Amino acid sequence: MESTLSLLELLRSGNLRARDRLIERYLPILHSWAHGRLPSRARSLSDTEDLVQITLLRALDHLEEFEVRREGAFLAYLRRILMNAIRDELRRSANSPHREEVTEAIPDRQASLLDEAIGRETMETYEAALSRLPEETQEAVIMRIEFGYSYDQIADALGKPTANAARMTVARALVQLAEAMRERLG
Amino acid sequence: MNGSDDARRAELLRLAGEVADATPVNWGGHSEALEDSDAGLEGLKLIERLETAHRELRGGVSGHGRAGEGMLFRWGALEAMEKLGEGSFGEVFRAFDPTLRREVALKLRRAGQGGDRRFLDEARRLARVAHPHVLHVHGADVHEGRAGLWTDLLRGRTLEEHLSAQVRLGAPEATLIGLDLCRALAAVHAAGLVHGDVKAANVMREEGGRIVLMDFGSVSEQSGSGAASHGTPLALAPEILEGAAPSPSTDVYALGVLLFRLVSGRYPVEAPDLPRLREEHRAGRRASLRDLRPDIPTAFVQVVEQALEKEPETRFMSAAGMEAALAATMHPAAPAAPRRRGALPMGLAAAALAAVIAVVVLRQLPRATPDTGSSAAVSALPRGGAATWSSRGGPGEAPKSGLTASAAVLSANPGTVAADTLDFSARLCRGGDGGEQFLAAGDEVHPGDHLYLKVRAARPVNVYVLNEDDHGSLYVLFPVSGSDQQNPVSPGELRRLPGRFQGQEQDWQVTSAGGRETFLVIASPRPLRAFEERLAALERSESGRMVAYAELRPSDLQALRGVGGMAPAALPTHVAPGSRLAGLAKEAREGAESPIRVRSFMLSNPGN
Repeated sequence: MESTLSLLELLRSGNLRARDRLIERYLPILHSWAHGRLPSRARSLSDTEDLVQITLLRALDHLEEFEVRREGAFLAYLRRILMNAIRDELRRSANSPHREEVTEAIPDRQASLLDEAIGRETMETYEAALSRLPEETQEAVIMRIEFGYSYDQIADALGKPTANAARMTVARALVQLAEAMRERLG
Repeated sequence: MNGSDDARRAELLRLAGEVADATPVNWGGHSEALEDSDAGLEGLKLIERLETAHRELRGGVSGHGRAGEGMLFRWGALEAMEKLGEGSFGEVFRAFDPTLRREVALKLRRAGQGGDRRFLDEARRLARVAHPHVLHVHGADVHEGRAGLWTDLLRGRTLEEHLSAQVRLGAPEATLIGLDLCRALAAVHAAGLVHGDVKAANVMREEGGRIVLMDFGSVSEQSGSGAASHGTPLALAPEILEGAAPSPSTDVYALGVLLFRLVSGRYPVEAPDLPRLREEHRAGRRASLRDLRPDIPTAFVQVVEQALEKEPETRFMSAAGMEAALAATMHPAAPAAPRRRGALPMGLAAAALAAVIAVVVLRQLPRATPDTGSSAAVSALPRGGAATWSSRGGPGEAPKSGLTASAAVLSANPGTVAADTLDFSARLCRGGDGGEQFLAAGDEVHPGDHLYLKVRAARPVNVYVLNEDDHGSLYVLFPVSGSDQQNPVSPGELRRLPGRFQGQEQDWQVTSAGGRETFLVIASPRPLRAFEERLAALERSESGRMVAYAELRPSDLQALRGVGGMAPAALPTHVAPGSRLAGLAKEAREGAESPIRVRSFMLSNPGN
């Protein structure tokens, strides 16, 4: 299988097949990721698909903004711009006329599935703690925890020699994250 | 960073690894290196929730087949998920068995390299060996032109990895590993097989601490037909280098080499090539373990040296013989009787009977006389340590007369004379169609028997029931969640343990035959907090579930180091000194602030 980095190189040189391959590879995992983070009002299948597809296409069209170092960094980059797109979506929905319809009975149409599952405060703590970690540490966390990459894939994406080395990197990253989260929660 | 920081960090990393693996994490079972309130521990719990939520959103609720990874390919019924390794033999994958819904390791040979029939034969022979310290082979087959076998999936580090981290073990730890491997080899040999390549790289120390002998690439039948050995030359017995066939004795030699390396970091005989290695052996030149490690006990050195004897007939006769000698190094004061499966030495059984009649209601005795009320031999439970909860078989409320087991009565407070009376009694019973039967020394139990414990105390009492099987595996039988009986057990009436689950009385069921089992019953007026933490690391029985094999974790090994050779007189004599149960009994006594009662029942389960 061609590596993400080589596909990105090809795309920079104008190879449109490489663009298709990247979309094929990243669209499904970003879609599933975004589904858990969109608020309920924007969670319909078509809304999610639109948002993810537009974001991914934009990212690929503005590759010059992204310095290619390793695959893990590319995934983190996609995640970041998708996260921004979701936040924009949240702001938009908060300001939309629909807001008046929100009643006490359904207090939190802004909540995502993940907010519902683990609580918004924990999610916010997680995001804040994550953003303070070194880049490679962040990448190890999101690849394993959020995207469910195998250790083999993580080894490739982070340039680790073996799957076991990748597993150790992830474990160390989780310990760092855990301590940072707990600090924030006090 | 000091030692406790290192230990804390190592424990956090271990737990983080479990979170990352998406395996269920036993949060209560962390080592003492971590405080319950540790910031990292709290954070990891949150991350585990995050991980689970993300995984469920991806649809991978079952814990396998992580999205973004997908299945690599299907081989027969198995789904290969991730490649774990590769070598000249072929490849190893982490795979999912959808029928049994569990992960396995799948070892596939390269297509078209020939010898598939031998490979499959070997796998079938291995599947005959069922032992907690031997990698369990589930099956073997050929699909898509590729022969393969699948086994338990182990996570941990091989002893070779430990050695390459420049870790030299102390004699107590090497002894515990050696004991496990002796038992493993005894099982392999009993199946008529020879391992043929016992070495550090083929022994895994799982994350839970269990020692597992694996990689049977060199296994051969004990036919004596001069099968070629593929073992590592430096670990090979001298007669193999001269062309002899692998035998149980060459496995014993190789284990001697392994123990030598664990404590010294070196091979006993080293040479740059095969001819010179033969020459060294012929000349009898061997490094002296005593010179390399002047600090370790002579008894341990002697066992290793006997295993490394040049002439097979002067080595231990069998792995069991080596096990007995190793066990004896831990308790120089107590001559160790070799543990033989299925048969209780007559003398011991008779002594146990005498003890049974001596004590019924336990009262605190001065420490000076603990051995008088020592052992109770009853009989029961499984060879593989498999016990399940099951619904009660019969009414069983017609007590017969007769005294039951004995007791070892010990004081947590040496020097105090019997002032306190806990008035705690415990009887091990068997239920069934024939009514209730108190188990006494010499009784036999059989698969299908239902056992339970009847206890009565004059005041609220915390009861802990543990079971150690013939392999040294420990299980917590009580307290157990879901039962109406919880600690402290109420005083007054006779209480039946494990108690009622969702309104239905449950028992411990004997599920397999063979071996010997020891039950330890500890009663204390106060909860034994430190002891409970230790118990959290052990496997717990659950309703309707097989109790899997469980081992102490590496951190517990540290705590157990002191068990070898320490004051055997303080132990109930029928709990094998140095066994894990003995270690826990000792810990319970030492950790108690108030007088406690320790009582044990030794049972044999000879099968049919």
